[in-house]
Parts: sequence; structure tokens; C-alpha cells
Amino acid sequence: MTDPLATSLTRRGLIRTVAAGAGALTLGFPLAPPRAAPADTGAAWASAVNAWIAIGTDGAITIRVAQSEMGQGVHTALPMLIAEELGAAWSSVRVEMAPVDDFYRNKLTGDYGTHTSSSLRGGYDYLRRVGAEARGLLIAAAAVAWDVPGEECSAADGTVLHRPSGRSLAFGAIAARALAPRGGLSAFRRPAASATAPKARSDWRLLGTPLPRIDGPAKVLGRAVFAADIRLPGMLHAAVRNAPVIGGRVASFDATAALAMPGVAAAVEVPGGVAVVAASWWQAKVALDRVQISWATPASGALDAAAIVSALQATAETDSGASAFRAGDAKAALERAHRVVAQEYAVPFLAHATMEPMSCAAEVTPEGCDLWVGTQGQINLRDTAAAFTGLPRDKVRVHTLYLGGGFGRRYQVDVARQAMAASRAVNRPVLVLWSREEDMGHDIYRPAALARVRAGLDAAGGIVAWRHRVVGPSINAGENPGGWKGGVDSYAVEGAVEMPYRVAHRRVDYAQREFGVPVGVMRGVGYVMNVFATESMIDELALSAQRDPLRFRRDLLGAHPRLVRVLDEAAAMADWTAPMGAGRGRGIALADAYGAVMAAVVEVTMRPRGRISVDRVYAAVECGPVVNPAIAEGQVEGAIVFGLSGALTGEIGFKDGATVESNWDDYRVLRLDATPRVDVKFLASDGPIGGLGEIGVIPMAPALANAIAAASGRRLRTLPLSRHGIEVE
Amino acid sequence: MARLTVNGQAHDLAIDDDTPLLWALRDALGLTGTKYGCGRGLCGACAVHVDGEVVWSCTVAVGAVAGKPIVTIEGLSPGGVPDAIQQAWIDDSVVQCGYCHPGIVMAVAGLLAANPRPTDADIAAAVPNICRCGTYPRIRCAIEKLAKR
Ligand code: FES
Ligand code: FES
Repeated sequence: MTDPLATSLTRRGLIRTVAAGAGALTLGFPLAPPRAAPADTGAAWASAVNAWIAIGTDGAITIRVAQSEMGQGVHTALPMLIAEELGAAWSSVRVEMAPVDDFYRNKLTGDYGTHTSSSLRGGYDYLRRVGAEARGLLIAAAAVAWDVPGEECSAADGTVLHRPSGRSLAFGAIAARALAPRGGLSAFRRPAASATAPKARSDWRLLGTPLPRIDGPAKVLGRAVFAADIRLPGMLHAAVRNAPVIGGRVASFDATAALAMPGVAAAVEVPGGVAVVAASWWQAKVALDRVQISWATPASGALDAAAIVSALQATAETDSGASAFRAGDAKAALERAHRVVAQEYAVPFLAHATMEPMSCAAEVTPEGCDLWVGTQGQINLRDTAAAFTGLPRDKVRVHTLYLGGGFGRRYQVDVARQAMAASRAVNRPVLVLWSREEDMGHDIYRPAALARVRAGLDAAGGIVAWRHRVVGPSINAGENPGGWKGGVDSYAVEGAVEMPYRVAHRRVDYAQREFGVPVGVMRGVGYVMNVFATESMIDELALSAQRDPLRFRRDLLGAHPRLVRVLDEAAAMADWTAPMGAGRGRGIALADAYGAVMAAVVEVTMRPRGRISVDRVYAAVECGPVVNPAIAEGQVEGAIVFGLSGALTGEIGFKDGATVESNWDDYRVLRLDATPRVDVKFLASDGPIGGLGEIGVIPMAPALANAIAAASGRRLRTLPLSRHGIEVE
Repeated sequence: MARLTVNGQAHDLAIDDDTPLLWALRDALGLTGTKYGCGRGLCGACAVHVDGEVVWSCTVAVGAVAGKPIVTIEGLSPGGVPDAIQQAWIDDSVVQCGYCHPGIVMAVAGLLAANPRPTDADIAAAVPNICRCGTYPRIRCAIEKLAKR
């Protein structure tokens, strides 16, 4: 395996040979991908094969991917799907990013972009079929060469085998024959449909195995190219100062002192701030500190953490919001209930805080625009760049590099706009890299939210009614009309609407409350906030009914056998009923999102002076087939750490309209020392494939809060836990 | 002007003495394997070895390390052949986004050179680096495997 993002940005010289006619074997990427998604015809599949796979005469197999690699392992897992069906030897597989073209849109999301845990869900059936069709074409080609029936041939390890005679032909040799003028392969027929059916799972050789990540070597050798690492001929580096107060803009600036400093080429206004462009980033950064900028600051600049919570509460009090879900009559059932329990849960704004701060290189000329960037939304970026530069879309080229973390942040285009503006101003390629402080202070934040949950109980403690009101800023309003209907933001209520526990009368509402803070999706999006509320509340109800939280949940999950299964498995892993010592406790929580289900058990120990240790996490996950168990396990482990980190210390506050936190000393994240041992188990399943990028984040805050309640009797309903004096050790 | 000895090679660089080593490596020498994550000694993405010790290169000026032997992530694997730690990382698919891992591998190399059989507490103390993708469980597991060899 070699890694295209590590070594070279130029496309390798690939064979391009296009045999004429429908069903022909083609052995290189076409100059342009097919115009439409393939219909189920031989010609359409042959051109799809052609768009995804190139086979070199040396046997090298280049597989395209149309999803960005930000750590989730798709540059390994997606090629595995094709390689499995193709019968390729894994060691001969190379990966390259597909060009940004409508043809390569994800089958689930319809986007050329990487989000919503959609890479495998959109690719699993389709890419296996592409691989199987390619295998069929190779077999047909070999069969023609040997003049034998295709049914007598099979493909494995990069070779087509004629089983009765034992003859074999390597894929590379088939490619070479197809290339020869008047070669023997010009007239073969597309194989029978049976030859292109995806394999039975029992025949898998690659799928389901922990193949080492394709990007592993480049990343540990320090050779992987992130946007911050791109070096282009004639390129300059830019450091940026964004308006300190949200919504502010540059009124005027004086860069005289900066321009006199060594290496400095220019100081230019860019969208949102001022960029200093210099020969090196450090020179740009030092000079930026010398630029005198006066900012036009919006009047509504006052905004702080306490004000945010009370504003959310006020809205919850006065605004009944818009209906997101109704079943039965929750209002009447609450009035009739034997007892009503009402609780309020709140989560703060969060920064994505990707390890690589925001970065993008651009070269804008009158003829075209090139962007070198780690992006989660290539088509969105291309269209933004076309609008920004006034160039036609086909003159914008997005070169996708590795993402030093995405978590949703790298779907945004703010830094790309600055890079384009800077490049246009100095007529050179410019790499913009934000400092950590700029990154943290100018995120497009995970929205704060408040949930009010009212549960009506019967005399036996059973839940007869459930009202869940969500209040907070909207990600979709004005930005994404598809996710904004009748006053309800689909992100804001996800997980609340699908609350799995059986309740006859249930209602979910959403009331929008904006703070002028830019908000966007972050790993797990609305599920993270809403499942914190539902899984905390259900735990509270169990404890107040003096029921075991596990059994209480189980009894309400009759309609959800997948959830019961992961719940039971996680409980078994944690030895749920085994007694724990004083000051220790277990908490459990469930998540059902992106086609996967997960239950997590967290074990904590309370220590003196508000300190706790998070000792163990047990996670049971069911996501249909597991393509690569090592990568899948890593995703869930990482998401668990991400979820715990946010729950323990994650918080972005504002003072006088500016972000309080600026770097890792005040935006604290989990480090290795406080990371618990984590056991992850995937349950065998014949079900459809689920997405794994985000599910693991979702149950962690409630499982942790539930564990603390079990250990100490203290119920914490506001995140982060550090607000309550809880510190992890 | 600063004279730096990096991965066995001496360089005379026309940069200010107070330039952080990190930026001398990345911008003057093109060694982009060493990463910027905070610039304030808070994350470890920029870890290198100076005189055999793990140093967070954003916190030292080139003037302070002139003439001392400096090893970066690129220098850990001459000719691109992974060393034992890098190979263990590859085999177990430890990385995710991978941005933090050059720094973490340098931290672990420093740890295991001084202490081939680290305890849990030794590992936690030697790897204070931040990994936002949360690869800590796999890092810990890979170090434990290396220590058992
Ligand atoms: S960049 Fe040096 S410690 Fe973070
Ligand atoms: S692997 Fe992404 S920050 Fe560590």
C-alpha cells in the first residue's frame, strides 16, 4: 500500500485505455467521470468500475475514495470494500482522492463530503458492487484469453485462476494484454450477473480483518501532509487576527510597523480579520502583533456564561416552542399522572478544538482557483470558492489533504475564504494557518442547549407521559432549509424525538434562542445534548422508583431488541450486579444513532475534595458488519474519550462578546493520565451497516453522570462537571 | 543566524535567534513532521529530542539549542524505515487523524530509551500530550506491548 497524500500531489501516471463499447474492460480512470450515477446496466457499471478503480500493468491497483480521511479510517475501510470483491492483493492497493465531481457523491447523503457517519453507510453496498463488477470484467477478460467459460474462473490475491486447468493470469498481465494493440481482450463479453454478485460473508478474506491503516506509516513517520504542511512553489505563509468580539469587523488598520519587519510581504484585510503574509509563518505571526487594528464592534457585545443559561431558562419558561414530535396527549396525561417529575439539563457551547488548527492554502489567479485543504465538504467548498472568486465551478480545484481532526469543524469554509482573499491580494499561493488562540476564539461552536423534561408517573412508578422541551440556538435555521421545518431544527431535537423508551403520551418541542454565536455541527451533534437529558432522566426515574437502572430501561425497551441486546452485553461486560465498594459506582446509558446502537457502562470512584477517577468504560456496540475491527474499535474508543472529555471539562464561555477560553490551559481536554481503561465489544450482526464515527460520544456524558449519582447520590444535570467542582484524576 | 544540528546534519539558518525551534524546523528546514498545536508548551504536538531529552520545540528558541544534537520525527526513521515504536503504531492502527502522533512517538521514544519497562504511572507522566481523537487507549496498549518484548 502506498499513500498518495504522503508523497505526491500529482496523479501517478496511470494507464488509460478505454476499450470501445458497452461492457468493455477499461483499465484506467477516465478523463472525466461518467455523467450520471450508474443505472443497473452493464455499460453503466463498467463506467462506474472505471471511475473507481485503475489497474496498472505492474499489478498496482489504485482505488479512489470520495471521503476525507480525518482519522476515522475511511481511506482504509472503503478501499477494503472494493479490494475484497475485486479479489485484489491488499499489498498492491493504493488510494487516491477522487476528483470533486457529482458522480462521486455519497449514496446516503448525496454530498461529496464527509459527515453524518455516512462513509461506510453510503459506500458499503455500492462499492462492494463496484468491486464485484470489476472482478467480473477481469474474469471475463481472462476467460476470453484462455477461450474457456468464465464460470470456470475465479479471482483472488490479484490473480484470475482457471480452476480446471490451474492456469492463472495476474491482474497486471490482464491489463497489459488489454493494452496491446489488437490484444486478445478487445471483444470479451460482460460476465453473467451471477459472477458479479457480492461475496457471501463467509468468503471474505479482507473484510472483517484488522488490516493496518493505510495512512499509518505516513502519519507515524511524520510524512503525512496536512494542509498546515503543504509547501508550494512561491508560497507565502499567513497569520490571521480575527475580530475579537463575535460579529465584529475591521474598521481600519495600520500595518506600517509590521511591513518593516523581516520577511513580511503584505498585510491585507480578509473576511473576518487581518492577515499578515510573510516568508514564514513565525515571521507573519510576530508581525501580526505589530499591526494596529481598530475594530467595529457590534453593540450587543455583552454575553457571558451565566447570562446564557438564564436566557435559555427564560425562553423555556415563556416560549412553548414548535412541536417536533407528538404521540398521544402528553399534556392531559401529565395532568392525570399520580406524580410528575420535572428536571432541567443544560450543556454549554463547545469548541471542536481539532488538533490541527484551521488551515488552508489557496492560489487564486484570473484563470482558476486551487485550494489545498483538509475539508469535510468538497462540493460546498468548491461552490463557495466559485462564488467568492467569480470563477466558474470547473475552474476551482479542491485538493484534499489529511485533516488534523475534523469533528464537523472542517465542513466550514471561513478559513478558505481568508486564504483566497490573501492569495488574490498578493498574487501568490498563500497558506493560512490559525494560531490555537484564533482557532478556539473563532470556532463555529457546538450550540449550548437547555432541556426541560417532565415525566408523569403512575402509582407504581411507571412512565405514562413525557414532555421534552429543547431550547437553544439553531444550526440549520437560515443555513440549511432542509433541516428547518415549522420552527424545528432537526439537529436540535435529534435523539429527543427518537427517545426509545415506551411511553404512551409523549411530546417534544423546540424553542429557538440565539445568542449571536455562530453554531455548527460537532461530532454527535444534537444527540450528545439530548441523550444526556433522556438518559439522565430515565436514570433518575429508575432510582426514585428504587429500581435497578438496567432493569428499568430493559422493561421499557420491548420494541427495541437491538438496544436490549447491547444493554445486556455492556452490563455483562461490566459485571453489572457485582457489588462495588463505598464511594464507587456504575452508570449506564444507551445511544441509537447513525444506524448503530451502543450501550456504555462507566465506573467511577469518588475521591476527597470533589475529585473522581473514571476507572473503566465498557461499551457494547452493534453496527451490522464490522469492516475493520481495529479501526472500528479505535473509533469507538476515541469517541468515548471525546465524550468524557466534553462532559468533564468542555466549555466555551463568553465575556464581553469574546470567547473566554483561548488555549489548552483553559479549554481543558482529557489526557492519557485520566483516561480510563476502555473495553469495546462489537456484537455479531447480520443487520445493515451503521456509522461509527459519532455514536461513541453520545452515551458518555449520561453514563458518567449516572455513575456519579450511583457512587455519591449527587445528581449533576449541567455540563461540564468541572462546574460542580468535579475534577478527574 | 543560527546553527542547528538536526538529524545529524548541520544547518546555518538566516533566522532570528529567538525564533522558536518549532518554526525553524517547519519553515526554514521544511521538516513538517513536527507539528504546531498550541505554541505555548501545552500539547506536545511539537515534541523533538534535544541532547536525547524530549523537548517541546515551540518553547525553546533556536539560540538556546544551537549546536546541540536535535532529532525530529523524520530522524527517528532514517531512510523511511519505521523504528520499533513506529512499527508497533502501524501494526495496531494506533493513529487516527495522526496530527498528534509525531509528538507522541517522540515522547514514547524518550520514555522507552530511559525506561524500557514503564509502569502505568510512568507512561502517564511521560505522555502528557493531547490527542483530540482520543487514541490514548491504543497508545497505552502499544507501549505495554513494546515494554513486554
Ligand atoms: S505546539 Fe508545542 S506544546 Fe503545543
Ligand atoms: S490522532 Fe488526532 S489528535 Fe491524536
